[in-house]
Amino acid sequence: MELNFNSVSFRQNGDTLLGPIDFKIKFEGITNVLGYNGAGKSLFLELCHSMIQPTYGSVYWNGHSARDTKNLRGFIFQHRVTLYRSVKKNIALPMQTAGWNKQLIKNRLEELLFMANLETKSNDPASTLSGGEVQRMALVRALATYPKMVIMDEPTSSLDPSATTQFEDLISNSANSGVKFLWATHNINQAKRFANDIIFISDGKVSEISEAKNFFKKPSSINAQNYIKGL
Amino acid sequence: MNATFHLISSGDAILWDIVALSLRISLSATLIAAFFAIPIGTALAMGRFTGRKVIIMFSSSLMALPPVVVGLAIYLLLSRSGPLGEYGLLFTPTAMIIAQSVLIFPIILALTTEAVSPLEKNYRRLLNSVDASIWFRLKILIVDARFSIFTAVLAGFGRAIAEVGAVIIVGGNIAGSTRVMTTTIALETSKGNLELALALGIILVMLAVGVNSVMHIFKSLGQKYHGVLR
Repeated sequence: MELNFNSVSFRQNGDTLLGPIDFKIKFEGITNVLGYNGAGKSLFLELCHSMIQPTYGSVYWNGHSARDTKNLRGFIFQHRVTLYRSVKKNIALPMQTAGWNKQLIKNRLEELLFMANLETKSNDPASTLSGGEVQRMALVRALATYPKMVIMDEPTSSLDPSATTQFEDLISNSANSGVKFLWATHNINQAKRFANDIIFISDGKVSEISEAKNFFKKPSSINAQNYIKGL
Repeated sequence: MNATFHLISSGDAILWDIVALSLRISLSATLIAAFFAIPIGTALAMGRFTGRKVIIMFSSSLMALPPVVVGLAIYLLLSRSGPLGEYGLLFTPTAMIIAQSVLIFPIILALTTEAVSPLEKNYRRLLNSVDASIWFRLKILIVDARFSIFTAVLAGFGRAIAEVGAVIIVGGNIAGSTRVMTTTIALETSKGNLELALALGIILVMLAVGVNSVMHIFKSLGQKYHGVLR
């Protein structure tokens, strides 16, 4: 799976918030996106997904426009983003927008609720779930229609260690089954444990793309070196 | 007062025919206005286009439309020399339904936009992430904001049933044909027939209180459950 940013910039109210960015990357397993707060990671991820469109340039996945292939990617937000509906209706959302029939949705829901360990809470309002449960629900919702790529914006930043472990286990299982992850995190140890590759964002630009082991051994940019040192 | 309560409790045919006609006209007008105002109001809450705020502001200001002016405009449209004169709708219940629909459309529209906007803000990124179509967004927002939208519809009905200025102009207050509660109260009071006027007044107040009570129940239901669908 290949992602190509072709002279991409994103501007808002006259300010360039991201770009210009030019790069090509082939995804293997999990790719972590690192960078300081305000570097542009969330914007970068939303452009990758095609939730927002670049002001200039184009984003391509496997040579196809990101906008035309949006339904091949899932997205998980940093904070609690749910419908005011039950857990199972939240998980069913992407299947409904993809036009699945009721029986298919029902069968897939059983698998997903089991995967997220939320079978007993399927009829509860999503608003009553704990932070960890919400993110597990968000993950299986993102996986519902068998996407090839799931994009995650700091999904564990507000979780306690136990909920983080449960979430990470789900990611590992999904990654082992072939799903690729593009995952923004501030947790260096998490990135060391999971990442195949690293994309480092600095001042609204992609300043480094490298294999994780090389990045953590010897990052090429000063910003990345400081970031790893916690400066 | 005894005569008034006797009129109500004895099932007086004239009185209850007037009540039934009022309900038929106002419910029809509410359904017609809601049919257009709910999807348009929701679309306005969803839209991200230049001039959206101006449209919302304009539609909100239409809530204050003077009923007599609406009545006059509809009268001019439906009168024999008007553009729709050939249909012979003036001084019929249909004309009254049209006038009330026009009058309450902005109310339901503005209140729907107001109810859906915060929900749309909460849902927007999630719906973007699953590539939801415009029709899907419209449907999910209307369903999930249904308690607040129903409150908007009830507010429209409340305005319609209590309205007098527009319906008296386009309906003509013809006995047995276009005479509704409000126009009858006005006429009978001027004639000194206070029993019928008071009886209708009591029923009208009971209806208004009933509608307001249901509105409050739905408002609190909406706040309590956020319309959670299981």
